[in-house]
Order: sequence, then C-alpha cells, then structure tokens
Amino acid sequence: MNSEIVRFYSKTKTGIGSHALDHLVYDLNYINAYKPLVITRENTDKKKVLRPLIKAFNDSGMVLGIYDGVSDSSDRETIREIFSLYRERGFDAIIALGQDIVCDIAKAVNIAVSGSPNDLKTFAGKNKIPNHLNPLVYIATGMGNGKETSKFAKFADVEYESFFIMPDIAIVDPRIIQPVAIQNIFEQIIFVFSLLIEAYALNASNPILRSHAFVGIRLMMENPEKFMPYNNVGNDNIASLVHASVISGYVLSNMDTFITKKLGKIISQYCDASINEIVFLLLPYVLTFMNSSGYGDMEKLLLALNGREFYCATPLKQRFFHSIGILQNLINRAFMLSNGRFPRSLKEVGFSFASFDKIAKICISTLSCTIEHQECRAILKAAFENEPVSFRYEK
Amino acid sequence: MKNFKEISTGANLLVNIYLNIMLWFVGRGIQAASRVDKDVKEEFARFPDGFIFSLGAYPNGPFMVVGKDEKGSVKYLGRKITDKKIDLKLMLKHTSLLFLLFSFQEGTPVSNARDRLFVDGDIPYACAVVRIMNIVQVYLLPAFIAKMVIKRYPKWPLVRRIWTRFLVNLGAIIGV
Repeated sequence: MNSEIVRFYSKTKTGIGSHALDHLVYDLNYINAYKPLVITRENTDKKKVLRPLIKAFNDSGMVLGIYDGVSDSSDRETIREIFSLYRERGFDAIIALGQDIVCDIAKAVNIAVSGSPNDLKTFAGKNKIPNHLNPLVYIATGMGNGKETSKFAKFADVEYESFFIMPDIAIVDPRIIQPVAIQNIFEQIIFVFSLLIEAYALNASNPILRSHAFVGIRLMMENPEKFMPYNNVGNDNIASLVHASVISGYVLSNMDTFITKKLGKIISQYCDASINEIVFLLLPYVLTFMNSSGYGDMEKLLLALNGREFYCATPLKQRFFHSIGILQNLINRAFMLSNGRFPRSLKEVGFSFASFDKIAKICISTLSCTIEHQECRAILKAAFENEPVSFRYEK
Repeated sequence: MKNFKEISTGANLLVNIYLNIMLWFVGRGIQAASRVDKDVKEEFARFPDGFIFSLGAYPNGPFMVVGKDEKGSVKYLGRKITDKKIDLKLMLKHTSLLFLLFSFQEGTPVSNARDRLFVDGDIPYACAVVRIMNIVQVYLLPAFIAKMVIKRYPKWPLVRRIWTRFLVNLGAIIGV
C-alpha cells in the first residue's frame, strides 16, 4: 500500500439523471433550507427551465424567490441587490440555476449572506473562509467548465478559494439541460476533458481523485461522436457531458497542480489561441514528457479513454502510446469540428520559434513541478512542430 | 423589483386525485389480501399488534395508512397521518415520484435503486411491507402491468390466480 498521505474533499451531494430535480425539496429540507432564492440569467427559458423547477416545488408548501437579473455585465450592484433581497425576505438558501457568472454571483452572495457584506473583501484569496456557509444548490442548465462545483469563484477580479464555497447539492436533470450545438460549448468541453485526463494520468497516488476523473472521462468517451463529432451534428442532448463537467469540479478542487493549464495560460499570451485550446493541444506532449520522466501511472490512461476490452487487448508497452494516439486523434477531430480554426500545433497559432527560451524560462519559474529548462523547451518544440508522439527530450 | 418575484408553489391537483384513488384502492387491497392470502397473512403475523404503517409522498402526502389491531386483523385506516402514531413511514421524495410508481412507469425496485424512497422506521418491517405491496399489486393489476412494476412475476396455482384474486378485488371494492 502507498504510504503517501492523500486527501479528497467534496461536500456536494450530486443528483444526476431522470427526475433528479424532484429530489430537491427533500434534499433542501434535509439541510434545513425551507425558503430558497433562485438566481438565474435574465434570458433563462421560462418554459423549459424555470417551469420544471417550480413544478418540483409543487405540493411542498414552500415559497420560492426567483431573481432573473444576472447578465454578463453584472457587477457589485447585482450582489448588493440580491443580498438585500435575501435578508429582507428571509430566504435561507441559494439555488444557482445556470453556469458561469450565475454560479460566481451565487457563491459571492452566499459568502455575504452567511456573514456580513464585508466578508467579500475579508475572505478574498486562498482558504480564508473559516466556517460553513448557508446552503447552496447548483442546477445545471448546460455545459459548464467545472468551476461551478469547484472550490473556486471569481467575481469582479476578486478570487475566492475555499472548500466551503462548493455547493451543497448539484443537480443535473436531463429535462432542463438545453440542447446546444457542440461548437458553442467547445471551449468548456476541451477544458473539462483536459482537466480530467491530467488528473487521471498524474495523480496515481490518489485513488479517490482518480476514480472521479475516470468516471468523468468514461462519460465523455463512451460516445465520442457526441463528445467530439466530425461534423456539426446539430443540437443534441448533452446531459452526459454536463455530468462530466460537474465531476470535473470536484476533481479540480482536489488537484495539487494543473500543469497544462499553467503552461497554457503563459503560452496563450504569446499567440492567437485561447487558454483552453492551448491546454488541449499541449496535453499529449506534457503527458509524453511525464511518461518519459517515469511520473504517474500512464498505461492506465487507455482504460479510461477506450474501455476495458480495448485496454485488455493492448499489450502493456503499447498502452500509453495508444492513449496519446487517441488524444491526438481528438485534436484532429477538433480541427475538423471548428472548420480548421482549432490549432493542431503551436506553429499554427503564430507562436514564434524565437520565443521558446523566454517562455520556457517563465514557465519554469511559474510551475512548481520539477521541469528543467531543456525539458520545457522540448515540450514546446514538440507541440510547435507537431512531432510524433515518441519524441524524446534532449537532456 | 423588476427582476424578482416570489412564488407560492401550487399543487398537482389531477396527480393528487389520481394518487388518492390509487392509494385508497391499494390500501383496501392490502386489507382484503390479509384475510385471504396466506403469504400476506404470514407477513402480517410477524408485525406486532397495533403496528401502523403509511405510504405516501414527502412532505405533505397524499398518504395511505394501514394498521394491524390488537386482535391481529389488518385495516385500511384512511389517508391522514397526523392523528395516528405511525410506526413505519415509507415515503417517496416527491408527489411526482409517487406518481411514477403508481402510474407504473417505474417499479418499486427501480424507484428504490434510484434513491426515491426513504424509510422512517425499522428496515425489516419496510422490506415486509414492500413484499406485501408486491403481492397486492399482482392481485390488483392486470398481468402485463404488474410485470412492469414488480421484479419477478410469481408463478401461482390456478386457484390463487383466479379465485383469490377475485376475492381480493371484491374485498378492495366493498371494503371487507
């Protein structure tokens, strides 16, 4: 048995599947919440999203508040408005109905209403929140990027990081998941996928984290046509992808470091691609480097990516390279899906060979793991030239 | 305020009427089966005298209450749970989940597996009630529906399939 101490914390009760929304009243009452306030976007579909939610409270005798004034331009004034509503009308729980800014606002309001408005300043930063907050529920209406169920929140350039801001309940009910074209949620999909892959491959010593990541990867890879179709197949039900994004939030909260994201954040400043695109693009190269360094348990990656039968049929020494092949195939699929916009190498996004040394230096000073300058340069070079997966870095 | 509204949640009227009728019928079916079916009799024989159980939806019902009196006879006690001391409560987490069960879209085992059912009381008694419910559903429902609801449809002798079923249905209607 591994003697290393590992931890995994997730306080969220996850309800996923048919009629999951109908369990909400019971789950809320169970955590002593009897008057919830729903926070959602101003353009939320009343018929397909709000009505099923209100219906789920039928026969409960509960009173429900609905605030549908959140937009991308919401600021501190919105928080002030929701805060006064919550306090004046006697609400005792928050339901975040939607992704992105809705969740960030719900988390920020929850910090304020659980203590005082000043806590929004005091508790900014890492692990500053000392106590449990009021009940918070996250109900997915579409694909998120995993931050919704994670310990992270960012609002008005202030970042919060604490296990206490994770939602108490997360619900994915296929009835209110809005069908959407894959192109529109592409950024979220590749981020969630990269996160789960890295967590699975590089956290061999944490079996609980790994099992969460495994479930997330299988949910996405069980139907690759839905996850990464060759062509735009139109609007489709994406409940299994949303399920994976919910799980990725728990994984993200418990990962010590997300190397590809850190690299992607730096590199995206020097080229014309988003962080998520760079993260997805770098993934096979970072994993290959880690494998050649003897880090992680890479051969099991094939089990998560392609299922038990293919894993068993593949000889031990081929497994990792098959996994990398699958990842590169997905990158090529992404290229087709985005009509040639998604980069297959750093060369395609205007990254210059001359800046390798400079970026490698920045990466090494930012990353907490033990990558040397030459190694970082080798990763960048492989991603730049789209080299075969069997690249070996030059010592 | 422009972006805010407070909603007092309503009731599913038609669903409640349907569920009340079904629970009434099943309750009286349990009462009738306890008199004519040996398996149901045996299950109730293990319950203590004065034992009362209910089946319904969280938090406000509808409910069905069935009890065993001091003489050992089983009676359907109506749909109110407030005026009685209930020893065992079987609850579905929402009216719509009870509706799924009683409209035969989901069987009891599936409902249980999907974490829709919770019990306030002793688990062995809850298991016995589920077994009783299975037998009663076989009596009250046509075979093609009962096969969807219960895990395994029993192979009963002809007398039990026809005569006992007739007695249970008659008992459920006239209330004996």
